[in-house]
Amino acid sequence: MKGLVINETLKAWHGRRIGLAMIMMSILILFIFIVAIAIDQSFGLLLTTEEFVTIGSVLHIFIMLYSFVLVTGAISGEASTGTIKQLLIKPVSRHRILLSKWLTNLVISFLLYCFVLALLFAFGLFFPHVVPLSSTFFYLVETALYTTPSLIFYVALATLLAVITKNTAVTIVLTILPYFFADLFVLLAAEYDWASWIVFAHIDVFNNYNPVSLAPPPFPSMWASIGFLLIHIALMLAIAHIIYKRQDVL
Amino acid sequence: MKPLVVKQLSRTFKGRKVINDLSFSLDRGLIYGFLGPNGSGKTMTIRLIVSLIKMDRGEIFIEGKDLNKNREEALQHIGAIVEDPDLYTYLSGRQNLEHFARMSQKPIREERIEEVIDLVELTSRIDDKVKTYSLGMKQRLGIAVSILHEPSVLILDEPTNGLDPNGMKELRYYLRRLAKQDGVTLLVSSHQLREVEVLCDRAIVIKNGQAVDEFDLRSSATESTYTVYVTASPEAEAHAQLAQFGNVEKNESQFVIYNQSYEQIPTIVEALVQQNVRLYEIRCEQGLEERYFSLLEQERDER
Ligand SMILES: Nc1ncnc2c1ncn2[C@@H]1O[C@H](COP(=O)(O)OP(=O)(O)OP(=O)(O)O)[C@@H](O)[C@H]1O
Ligand SMILES: [Mg+2]
Repeated sequence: MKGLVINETLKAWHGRRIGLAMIMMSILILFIFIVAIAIDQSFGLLLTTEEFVTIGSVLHIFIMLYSFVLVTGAISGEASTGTIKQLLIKPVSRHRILLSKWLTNLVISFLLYCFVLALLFAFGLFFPHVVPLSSTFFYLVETALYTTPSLIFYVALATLLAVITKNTAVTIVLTILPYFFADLFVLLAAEYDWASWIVFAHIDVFNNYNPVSLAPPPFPSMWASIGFLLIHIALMLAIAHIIYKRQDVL
Repeated sequence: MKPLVVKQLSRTFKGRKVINDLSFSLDRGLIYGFLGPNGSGKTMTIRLIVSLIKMDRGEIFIEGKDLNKNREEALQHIGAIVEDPDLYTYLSGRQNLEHFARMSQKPIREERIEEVIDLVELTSRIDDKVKTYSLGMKQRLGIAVSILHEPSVLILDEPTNGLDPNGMKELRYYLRRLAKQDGVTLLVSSHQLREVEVLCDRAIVIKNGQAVDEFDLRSSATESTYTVYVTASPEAEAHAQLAQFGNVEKNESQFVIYNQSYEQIPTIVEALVQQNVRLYEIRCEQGLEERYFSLLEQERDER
């Protein structure tokens, strides 16, 4: 399994250009930083570290999108280039191969998210702070942890779709659709009592269970909500594994 | 124990029997040609043997291990290139080899990687990205990947595709060496009958997913039969002379007579010359092409 994880990391790094993605993220953060400085200068607003970090955390959208690219590249990308054939005729079970693919790319996505948050924090230090830096840091760690369930959910969804469609573009589009439109759907369904049983209502764990948030959470307990998400994740991954195991590779 | 046994293999695709009750087995250390017209099911058979697709019915044993029951144990003895040698073009040749080395059951040492690089003569380009390789170099790297774990059965699907004459000659040389020195059993699908004739010890012919025939290509000169092609004039006289040796066919300006023994050839020449027939060309071929076509003819007649 260790060898498989090394392989997937190597292919993600060289094939999906993680280095380039990191540079792009850094440029985006730099851009936000420059805009923030410009606003500071021209309006005399004094932006704080914690405000800068909060603004910058919109970048998690890019991490999500990039995680779709990583997962689908590893699964359907190898199917379309044909390299999957040589991979699947080696004496390793298909379960392990699929597991190594989504797990490695999930961990890479999470680490990239941590990298972005760390960089945001570093740039934020140029601004004055009101709250102690340690609590801003803690806030970032918390953000990373709260985002994990939704990251895993979307990685599982992308895995399932990549296995079924074997097509990179289709998978990315189908995964992005719920990412952008699920909130709207949940909002429209909100008046019915089954709305809290829509899995997408549970994805944004952070805002759902934030004491200051306006809307009532879908479930009374955050852990029940996370459990509900995990059931869906497990189901999607189980289906993906079963299909992958049986699929004909032509 | 036979290195590869295929028993009553069947597979239906979209309601059509693509592989239909196919059985054959390979003897150790021999090179088998795998022949058949386009769409006869050669690639499908190979996909079934390496478990890329599932069989509907049948059994496959690789080194005695049942593919349906002990997939990983069976697969560790096999190496294959199915259709194209698809490799990671964004990695270097060496990174590709290391990648597949990490997937082997028994550990593969650095020296083994160097050894296969030497064998396929890619030493000077091995650290370049595969996307900069020529087709022949990709083929060679593909072979290096498939023999890395020292399989005892090696299956190659049209390996000479895109190779230049020199590349083909070298490939033939490595494959022979694998078979003779290391006792590897090879199954090589190809459309190049001439290639098969010079490379292989035996040939398996399939048609419509069924094995039609299997025969030896190394029987000694005296036993096997030849097809003789003659260009001569005047044609009427030549035809008359040749007719005593068997059924004569006229093929453009050439006469063709099948199933002649090696000893018969000088007699044919003598007969023509004695009747003052002017002989422009005489060429003899040792049967694969003829045998292959006559097999497919028979099949066509039966349809
Ligand atoms: N993806 C597919 N789906 C359905 N049928 C297929 C598919 N690929 C191939 N076939 C069918 O399976 C049969 C066997 O094809 P196969 O590719 O094994 O032939 P082949 O002997 O390798 O031919 P070639 O010499 O052209 O490579 C053909 O009739 C073909 O139409
Ligand atoms: Mg083929």
